[in-house]
Amino acid sequence: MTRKRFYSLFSMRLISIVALWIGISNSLAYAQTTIDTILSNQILFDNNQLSIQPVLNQSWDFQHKKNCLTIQGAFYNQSNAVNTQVAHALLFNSFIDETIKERTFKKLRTTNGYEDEARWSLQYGHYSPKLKLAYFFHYTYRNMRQMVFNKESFEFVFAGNKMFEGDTISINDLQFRYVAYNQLQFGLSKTITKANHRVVIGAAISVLQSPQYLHLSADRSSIYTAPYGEYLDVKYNMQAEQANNGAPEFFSFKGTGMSADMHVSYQKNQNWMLRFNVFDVGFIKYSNEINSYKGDSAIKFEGIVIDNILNFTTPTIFKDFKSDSLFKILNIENSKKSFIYIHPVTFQLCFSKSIIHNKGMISIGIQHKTQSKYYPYVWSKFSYACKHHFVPSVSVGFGGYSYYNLGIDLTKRIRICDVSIGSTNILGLFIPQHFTSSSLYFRASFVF
Amino acid sequence: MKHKIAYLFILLIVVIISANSCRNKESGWNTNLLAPIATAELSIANLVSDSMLTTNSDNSLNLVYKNTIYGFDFSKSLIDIPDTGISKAFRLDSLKLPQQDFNVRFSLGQLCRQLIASGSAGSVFLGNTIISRNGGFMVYPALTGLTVPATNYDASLYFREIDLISGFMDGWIKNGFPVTIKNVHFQVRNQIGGEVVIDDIIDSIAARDSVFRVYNLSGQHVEGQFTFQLINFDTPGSYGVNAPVDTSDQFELDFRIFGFRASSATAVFPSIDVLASTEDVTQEIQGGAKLTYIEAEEGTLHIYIASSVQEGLTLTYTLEGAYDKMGRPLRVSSFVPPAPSTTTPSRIDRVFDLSGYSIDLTGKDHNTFNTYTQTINARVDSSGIERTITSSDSLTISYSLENIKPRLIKGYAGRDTLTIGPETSNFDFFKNILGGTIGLDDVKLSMSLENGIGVEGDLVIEQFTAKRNTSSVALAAPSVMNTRIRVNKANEFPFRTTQTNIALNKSNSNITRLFELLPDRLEYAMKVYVNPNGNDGTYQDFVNANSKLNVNLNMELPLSLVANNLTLKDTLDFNIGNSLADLESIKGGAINLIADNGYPLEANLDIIVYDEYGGVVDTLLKNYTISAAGLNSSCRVDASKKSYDKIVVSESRMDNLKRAYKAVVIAKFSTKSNQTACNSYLKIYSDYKLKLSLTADFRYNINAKF
Repeated sequence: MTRKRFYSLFSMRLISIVALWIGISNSLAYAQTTIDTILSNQILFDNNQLSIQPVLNQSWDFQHKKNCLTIQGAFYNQSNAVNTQVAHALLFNSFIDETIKERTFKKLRTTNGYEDEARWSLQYGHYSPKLKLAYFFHYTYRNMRQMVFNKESFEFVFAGNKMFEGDTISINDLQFRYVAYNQLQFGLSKTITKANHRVVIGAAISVLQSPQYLHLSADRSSIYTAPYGEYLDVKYNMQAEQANNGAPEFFSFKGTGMSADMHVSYQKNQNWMLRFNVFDVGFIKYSNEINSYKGDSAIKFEGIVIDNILNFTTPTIFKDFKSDSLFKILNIENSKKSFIYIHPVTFQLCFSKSIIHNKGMISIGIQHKTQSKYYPYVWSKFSYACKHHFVPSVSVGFGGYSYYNLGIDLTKRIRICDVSIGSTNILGLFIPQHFTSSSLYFRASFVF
Repeated sequence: MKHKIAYLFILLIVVIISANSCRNKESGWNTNLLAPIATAELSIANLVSDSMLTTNSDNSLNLVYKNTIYGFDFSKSLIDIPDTGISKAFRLDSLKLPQQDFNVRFSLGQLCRQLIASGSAGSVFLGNTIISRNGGFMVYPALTGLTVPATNYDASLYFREIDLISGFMDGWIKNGFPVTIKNVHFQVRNQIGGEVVIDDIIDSIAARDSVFRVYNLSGQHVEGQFTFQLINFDTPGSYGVNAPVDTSDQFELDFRIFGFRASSATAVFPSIDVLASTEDVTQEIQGGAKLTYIEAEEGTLHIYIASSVQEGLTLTYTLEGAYDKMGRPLRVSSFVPPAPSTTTPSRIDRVFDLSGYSIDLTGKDHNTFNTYTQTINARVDSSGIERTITSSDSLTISYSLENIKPRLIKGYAGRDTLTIGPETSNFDFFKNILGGTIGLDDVKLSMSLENGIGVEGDLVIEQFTAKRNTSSVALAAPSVMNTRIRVNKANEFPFRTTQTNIALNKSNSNITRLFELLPDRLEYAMKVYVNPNGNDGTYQDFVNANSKLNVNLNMELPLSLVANNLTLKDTLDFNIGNSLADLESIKGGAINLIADNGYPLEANLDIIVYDEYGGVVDTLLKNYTISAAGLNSSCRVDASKKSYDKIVVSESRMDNLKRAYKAVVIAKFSTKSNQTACNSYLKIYSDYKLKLSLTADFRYNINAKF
């Protein structure tokens, strides 16, 4: 056997193995879609993880319709202090005036949290009668921010240090993270039905590709502003990684990683169902072209020292304030190195009970994320199937980084298409200046 | 793009948010920042260079000022070498022709054949007898009237014809016969013209003997083809005794012609020297200088030649005693082509660079001054063609030494008196002071005369006046003014200038008053007497291109003073520019100016900002007072004093300042009256400092994009 032929056969076998693995993965992915769409009700585009539209999603009867195409988008933000108006201004680049800031300042507590996420996705699912598996292919773009901060940090950032003249700003437990990535997911699920019992087991695996990442953490840091700003006493213990500077390319591969999702549910008749989901168990590794900053020191900053005041040009001063020089002054170590971002994992447990002769459904659930200062989020939702395939729902929730949330969504079947629009905090959408959370999601599913 | 795609699906929220956004075009948020921008410590050391500041043992400071108020460049005024030119014509009478040799041979056998051919019975008999006795002996009879036919000779290889101014022919006349010959009469005639060149009769030549003859050919016309004829000779015979008979015995003439100086010659001239001349050329140099040596920084040798000689010439010019840096003599050669005709001379014009040459000026006998020695040689280069050269042919050579700028001269520089001034020199020490008054405790001024010239002299300062605007104070120093101050010559090997110092202070002059005027210019008048004692006969004066007599001021000004609104003005670059994006985010505010004054002087500051066209952009500060630090019982500052001021900068003012190009700072300094209790003069110490801090109190727009 020639070496060339050997390699040819070897390659073919390798391709066969990969194809088989992809097939299994696809089946798992499809199962996940099935889980999401039938049972968990759009959990991928609703990070409050409220289960909605339980009735209609079950209507994708893949025994008769083998294919399902879904397009969806979702946004949410939640905080215990930061007004939705501030969040929206930051996201949509509008102006935050003094009134908006003052409202937020009044709500600030010793420790505060904030998170948001925007995503859109395109999903194709297929049921294979031969394998008795549902599998899917799913593309999602996600970008999310998460922040934990103390009161003075927020006031310093949004009001400046003048209000602290002659006083010290303490910065403790400050965390800020922004990550954006493309997610390519394959999954499958297996439904086992026996008598009145039905168990669904599904899993999915994803390839992640991240063009942007920014992380900043600071603790045991402080800034003292002398009267008239004569000098600043800065103590800092900070670390930052930055992968978004100058790299907005959508498909650039600054970071790549993997993640996995898992789903288990048990359903008895059409009466009740218990579900357990684990999402985003994974990581993204960023390459060594990423800027990393680290500093742990204290300085007394009196401005740029001019050796000869009679021989300087004004731009020199401002030039010296550029980031590189500032880092030097602050003794912040700047290096290029790779690092790994561990994705926060989401756990969900949900119980659903059919009521009103199977026309209504009520669910309660709890969700937790492995994020700093994140409180378990508890929610409940009620849906009712009206005539003409119209299903309105209402929900309430508490926890996470927010206080309380009042949600609503509307779903309507139009021929082969299910269209849903909703929010887990409708008040934050319409009265953003008074509420610290909001969300909005939209979905259209086609079965054929 | 990705955000837009995502948010297509949340259209509603976009509408809600954009409704808010439309109300305000701004983005981000404003913060009030209070932060230091810059800090600087201003001390006397910042105002003056290190070399201008000295510290006394008690740490009090002196300002030191050094400047050359006058520099006299002797290399320009003293060393003026005039151009030197000589034109000389050389005639052909200098033309020399080479020596030529020729021989005449006449054997006994030839003589016998001449006798036989004569037809006379006796002669025939004698001829036959001698021939028959050849190899033996016979008795030769006495004979008279013997002749030998004319013989032609051709010397046209050397010349065809020549008219001699002078010339000689000499040679040996040898009698190889076995008998004495007498009354030997011979002639040399031009073959074509027939002129007799030589006609001589020799009385007697003994057997086997010879005589030497010299013939003067001056004034003769000689042809290259000539005839020799033995017209007559007699013999007394062998006096009755047998004498050997050998028909190969010869009568010989070995002649040479030499010492030909021609007025006209037609010849194929060989390569010969036609001119050799060495002569001295002496220049008159103004001021009575007697120079023995110069080194030329630059200069040229210009040679112009006109030749009517119809033959090529090589002309060599040598400036004796002149050598370049490599030790090579100054010798230049030029080829002069043959003149087309006697009336149309050939010409050449050559210029040679003399830069770097050293030239001896003592003449060919090395006992004179200002004298160049030059040698000119001309040589005819043979062309192999017959030429006619006449006495009217000439060679005219003009040469000149032009634009000689020496970098070194030696000798005696002459005796002269140079008048300097009255002249005015700018004095910039107080250039930034606009007004006010100052009282100085003391001023020490050393006027240093630094002589880099190898010439002795006397300097007389006739006037020294400090001036500011229309005010002036004349120096009153009886020990210095109008007094001859001897300035010794510099040392040549190794080169070293000499210093002559004149010390002025408050005890021997009014120098303090002079500088309390805060002068901006100094006026002076001086006389320099060069070689006041005349020529000492050593001729060791020297002046080189860098030789200068500098009058330097070395001023030491103790910073012990009284100031009253002493106003300083300075202009600084102040260009914020438009390219700094960071400044776009500043939405107005204020700049705090914090002064921490460690000087016992109160300062009042104005800062006015101008655009690049000189238009006033803004007055940043007006009458900002920086309070003076207090003094302790030792009259020293032991605690600085802080002063604050705020420059309000609105957004529109910020925009205005972006046009700024220059800032003019006007500061008025005063010693306060309560401080004068310490002393009428306040000392400034080296540890005094003024710390200036600029802090920003700005409203700053943060436009963070997430």
